[in-house]
Amino acid sequence: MMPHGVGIVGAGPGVAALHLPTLARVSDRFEVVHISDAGSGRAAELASRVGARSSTGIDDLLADPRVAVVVLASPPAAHAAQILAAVAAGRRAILCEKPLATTLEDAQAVIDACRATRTALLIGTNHLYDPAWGRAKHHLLAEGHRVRAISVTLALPPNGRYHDVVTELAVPAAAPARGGPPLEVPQVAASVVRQLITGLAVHDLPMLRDLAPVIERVVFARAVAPIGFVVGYRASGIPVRLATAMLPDGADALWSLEITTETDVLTVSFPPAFVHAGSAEVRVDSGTGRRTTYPLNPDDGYLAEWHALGDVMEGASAVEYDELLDDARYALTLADAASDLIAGAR
Amino acid sequence: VTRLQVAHAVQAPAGRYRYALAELPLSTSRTDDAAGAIVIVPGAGGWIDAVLSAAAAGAIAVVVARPGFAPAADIRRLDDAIGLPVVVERTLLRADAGEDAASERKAEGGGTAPRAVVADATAPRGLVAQVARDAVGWLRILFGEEPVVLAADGELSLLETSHGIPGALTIVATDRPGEGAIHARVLGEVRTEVAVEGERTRVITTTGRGSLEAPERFESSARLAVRRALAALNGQTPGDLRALAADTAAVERILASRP
Repeated sequence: MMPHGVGIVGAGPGVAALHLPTLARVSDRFEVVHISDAGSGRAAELASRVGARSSTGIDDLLADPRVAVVVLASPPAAHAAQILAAVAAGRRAILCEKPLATTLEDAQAVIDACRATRTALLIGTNHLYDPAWGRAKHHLLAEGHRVRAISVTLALPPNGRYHDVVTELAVPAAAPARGGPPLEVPQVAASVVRQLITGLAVHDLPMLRDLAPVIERVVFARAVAPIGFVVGYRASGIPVRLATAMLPDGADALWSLEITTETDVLTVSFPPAFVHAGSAEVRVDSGTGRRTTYPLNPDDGYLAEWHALGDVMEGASAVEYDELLDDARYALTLADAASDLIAGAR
Repeated sequence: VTRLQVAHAVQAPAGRYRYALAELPLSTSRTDDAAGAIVIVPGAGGWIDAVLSAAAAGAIAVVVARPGFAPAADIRRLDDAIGLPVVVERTLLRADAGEDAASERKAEGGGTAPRAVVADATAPRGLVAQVARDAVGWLRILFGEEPVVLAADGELSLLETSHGIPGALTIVATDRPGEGAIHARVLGEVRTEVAVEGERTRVITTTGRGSLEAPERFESSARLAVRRALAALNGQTPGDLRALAADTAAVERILASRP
């Protein structure tokens, strides 16, 4: 079978560091044929690396007959309109970087459009596709223990540390600003937390929705300097705590999901973003002192999501549109509730 | 044989503290008389009255062994009234592990302040308040000051330092065997991870240069408590009751918020 042609909308560091190296690893199924930018001129340089066409704006890319899969690596506010444009242009599949949309209305509209045209749609929440998550879920189901609490903890150094080990940027990415935004202004803090939930925590929220699907209330929400947040909420009777700190320097990335059951603590430790170091690690600490660490899978979540999309395009699986919509609804509901709490708290 | 130091009399009930005395053969001697002795008070119900009784009987210092949950106001009143050193043994919050965490943050990271602190704890159903109290204690140690509770619902709570640094605590009751477990982490350029389960506490400090795990503390918690009482007799004020009262007050606020 010929590889599916991929058109990438966006030409920032994320495309250079993530999508191109990832697609090189699945070149038996996908081939980059077109890259577009929003006027920066960076698409031409990236496209030349892989022998693809380049353009500015989205129209030429959507009109390119070789493009079967559209990757949206553009700013979140543009996602919904670009999905609708890709659907209208008759593209077969879309891989949209998170989030799917920034409002519930937009999320509903794009799901309706994709469902009506049977367009394959996948959101780039790579942790959901990480083989480790399947293993963790299997453990939870097999043991049959009731989940008692969930925590997600992130401490992330600048992305550049990991860009440097997976690509060479023609133009260095902007250094993270020291000091961060003025979080003492409630509206700023609320906006930052909303963006972090829909843009970063969203990697894990589909997994949390699997375990605790009904958000009851947000107990607390706070911004963390220089950029980050802590949020505690109750969903389906379970306390869920999220904490994120994006740091200017320091220790390597920590990205950990912990699920406490009646007897065990199951920890999923994800590798840093951008790198291809295999799956996350799943460890189970039982109350009897037994510790089980499952072997790593060589495939990471980035590769797995591309294979999942390929399977849909080749008829081996189907898109669960309602699940995508419910994931979007969950993230937006949480983000809105947390930001409302912050905006109204001071 | 020349004794290098004076052995202090210690009144201890049978069990762990007798073992500790056997491991401190030069600095302690066992006695059945509270007068002039370090008295070990079991932390079961009524321990505050037991401490006062020991003081009335002439104790020179008291160790409260694994204290059960008591009202913060009562602990404060005891602290104000007692007038002698009181060491509190908290197995989920060992003093030496706390010092390891604080000193390694200083040594490895030059005292870099936390950006946020999180603690997740599990407790047997009858020990939720007690484990929560020690988890709050870890937040206090990792913050370097007593945080205040801003919001809570019994299982989830948000605390904050005077500098506005947030701390999040989750405490849930489970069927997990043992006497509780605490996993606390400082998020920041210098990361600290503390994992407490049973008698074992692991302290790991991570910077851009890598991770350093503090040596495992093989000394029993009881022996450590007796040594701290001995040090208190030499002028090192433990401040344990004040810390216990502060942690307890925070937990009272958290548990009162249960819907």
